[in-house]
Amino acid sequence: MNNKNHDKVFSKKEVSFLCRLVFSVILLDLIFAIFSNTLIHQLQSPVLKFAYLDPTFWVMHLLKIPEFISSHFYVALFWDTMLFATCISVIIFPGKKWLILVFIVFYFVYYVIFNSYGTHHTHSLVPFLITPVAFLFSKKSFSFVWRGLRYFLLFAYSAAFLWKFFRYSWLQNNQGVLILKKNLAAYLYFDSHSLLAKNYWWSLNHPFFLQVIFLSGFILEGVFIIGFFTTKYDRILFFVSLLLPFGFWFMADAVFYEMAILSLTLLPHATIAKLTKSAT
Amino acid sequence: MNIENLFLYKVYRYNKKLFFLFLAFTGVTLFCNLTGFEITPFYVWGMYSQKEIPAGSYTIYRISVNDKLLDYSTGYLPANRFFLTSPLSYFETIKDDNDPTLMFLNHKLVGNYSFIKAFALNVMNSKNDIEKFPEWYKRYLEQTTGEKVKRLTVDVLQVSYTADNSIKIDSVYNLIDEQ
Repeated sequence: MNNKNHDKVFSKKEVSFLCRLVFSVILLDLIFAIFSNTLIHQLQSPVLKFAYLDPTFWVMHLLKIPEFISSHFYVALFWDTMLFATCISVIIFPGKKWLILVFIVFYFVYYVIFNSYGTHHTHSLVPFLITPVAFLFSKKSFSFVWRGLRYFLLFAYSAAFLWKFFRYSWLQNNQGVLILKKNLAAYLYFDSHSLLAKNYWWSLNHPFFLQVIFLSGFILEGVFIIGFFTTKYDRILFFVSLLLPFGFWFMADAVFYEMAILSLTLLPHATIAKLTKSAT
Repeated sequence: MNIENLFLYKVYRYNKKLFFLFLAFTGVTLFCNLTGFEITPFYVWGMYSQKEIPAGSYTIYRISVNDKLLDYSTGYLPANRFFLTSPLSYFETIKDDNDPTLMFLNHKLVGNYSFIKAFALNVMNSKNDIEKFPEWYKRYLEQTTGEKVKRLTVDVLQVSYTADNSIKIDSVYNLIDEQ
């Protein structure tokens, strides 16, 4: 096993660089949230919640926390302001762990509100909830937790592969077409003549092409299992992890570019050091 | 394989508390994945792994604001689109008392449902919540479009794909009509 490059302890400068990078992406996403009308104060006191069977959501709703915040405009506005304020503050002062902790608490509640009142538990915001936790640890522990996050990413894609494998969906010969038909029906109904729609129609007429994309995605997810045994192929896994969200977007209109933040954990220490140097 | 090269072993050598934290996180995550039961932050990463069942028709929502069609499929960021369609779909499912959570609990807990009923009712949507949905949806559309919504209609279209690259409407019914 060649893990030496990943075993090195990050310097304070490198941790600060990674912290700034991660929180800058989160800030960008929060700015997107303004234009998406999905900040809490923009949700207009939503009424239908969906805790489903997740005990964390149950506890939050039993305590009436999401209800209280989302139904009081000024509390919601305060919450959103705190999300921005703490996120920006962390970018300015990446060493202040209490700021990171406050951000995580506010973001966690935002995450519950987003998923519960969005009435579907999406995983798109998970990387923004999990990754900041690493920066709460001391310099040496951080290096271990950062590597732990690498395994978290490997697990996510490997699990997706195994779920498909054991549910036999990879053996279904029209799985690709069916995913596309289900998720793109509205788009193809409203915008059937756009350039993208023309691509979709072509794909629907060539189901083999869609099946190849689906199976390629399935295999590429499986490739992440290698990462549990060696770090030798991390550069390849890094590019694959950036490629997969495009596949999900094309096939299922599902956007989760947020996973890219976890892809950073696949970069070798030397690359992080180089990036830190060029940034400072 | 040399055990000293294992990540968890290195964590164990470095800090036992951190090791047990990682071990607990890994253990609960594996348990959740084996049972398919998600407890935030122990996630189950299915990612479109369900076998798709060939469908005769697909559901589309036709939303009209002040008698103008709202094309939510383009021109809106993904998260906005998510909030425009997902709660609507959920409303359609539960408006006739078909709450999937409740049905699942009833089915799984048969004799013991009364035990958690009091808690369950606190996390489910009441009839009042469901009745308030169209009014909320109007408010959210106003937030999204920046336009005062005087009239809102939402039709549920059942559509199917045709051989000549188009989508035909098989049936329509009105879900929301608010003045």
